[in-house]
Amino acid sequence: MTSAGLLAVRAEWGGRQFGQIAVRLQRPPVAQLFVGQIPEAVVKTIPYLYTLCAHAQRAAAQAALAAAMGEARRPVDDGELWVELLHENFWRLLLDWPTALGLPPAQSAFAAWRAARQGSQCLAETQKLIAVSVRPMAAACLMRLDETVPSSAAGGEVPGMPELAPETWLAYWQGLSPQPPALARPASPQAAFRGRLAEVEQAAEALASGAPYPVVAAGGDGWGVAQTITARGILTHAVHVDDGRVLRYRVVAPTDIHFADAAALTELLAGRQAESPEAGRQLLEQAVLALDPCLPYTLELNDA
Amino acid sequence: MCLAIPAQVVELREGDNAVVDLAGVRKEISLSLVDNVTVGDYVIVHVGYALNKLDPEEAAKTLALFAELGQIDDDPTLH
Repeated sequence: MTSAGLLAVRAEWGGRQFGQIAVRLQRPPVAQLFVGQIPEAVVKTIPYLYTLCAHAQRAAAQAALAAAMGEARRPVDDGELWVELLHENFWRLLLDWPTALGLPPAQSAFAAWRAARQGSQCLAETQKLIAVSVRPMAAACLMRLDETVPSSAAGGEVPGMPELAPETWLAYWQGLSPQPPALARPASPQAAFRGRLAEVEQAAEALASGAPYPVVAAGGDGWGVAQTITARGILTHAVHVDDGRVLRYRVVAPTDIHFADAAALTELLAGRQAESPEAGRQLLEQAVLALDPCLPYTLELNDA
Repeated sequence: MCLAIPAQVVELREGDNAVVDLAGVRKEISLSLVDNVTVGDYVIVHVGYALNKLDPEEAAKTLALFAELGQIDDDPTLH
């Protein structure tokens, strides 16, 4: 038996400012299950393995494998994918961020939407949740965030829906480029929060209008890369198929990039000051939440 | 991409909570996001909440996949 993995974050705190920050990301080697399989077996296995973004994972796998095999991609259920994206964003905005900021979470409103999200009233319930719960809660959270994050550290462009570029990733996957494309990261907790809020509004509009969910792929001759969006950012699936079987497979989620090292966290906490260990821990928690890891994590704050 | 490892409910507690067995580790979780969960059911857990209930066949299949995964040496470049 294996675990879902673990992220361990350790930070030194010197009384006012943060010192060295270290992260350790442990993930089970899920993609190794796909090596030697036929593409159809991979697509059937994926939904059993993932929970939060199972539909996005399946869509990306199908698209990457179809690109590699030179086949037409199967259509996706756009509504199902938009709802999955909304589900994760609502969770952060209604449960996780309020808790991190000392506000009561809107658990019952979220639970009621969750129970209705797969029925005929999904769109109406989504619009109601945004109007009645998400926007007021967001205003309260942003007020708290403004109290804890100085204006000098609260800026940065608010990220919108990320742009997908499977061709660039394919070049890396085929060894033609030394580095995978960089993933945009939030400049501040406020920017992350506002970006999530903007994404909720866009996703609700897309759900209402029946807009296609972004899933793009590139490849051929056995090589395939597909990308789609999740509530945490870009999800990439890369595959190399030979003689009808998977030779190599890689799944890259935003967590893998944001927590590959301590750079993103260090950037978010640069210059941030706290008057007490409790306040320091709160800043650390907010920075981790801004980068939104998709697995259990532990935080350790030590006196430098 | 949180992994969907099934956890078996071993005890129901007050306040819509339950104790689950997740790969041999017992922990208390909230059942407030799912309905009609009883002892013996399998659920998927994320950050302290049960997200959904699995039928026993689906749980067995998923547990078999993760058991297979547990036999593979961990290579951080391949997840």
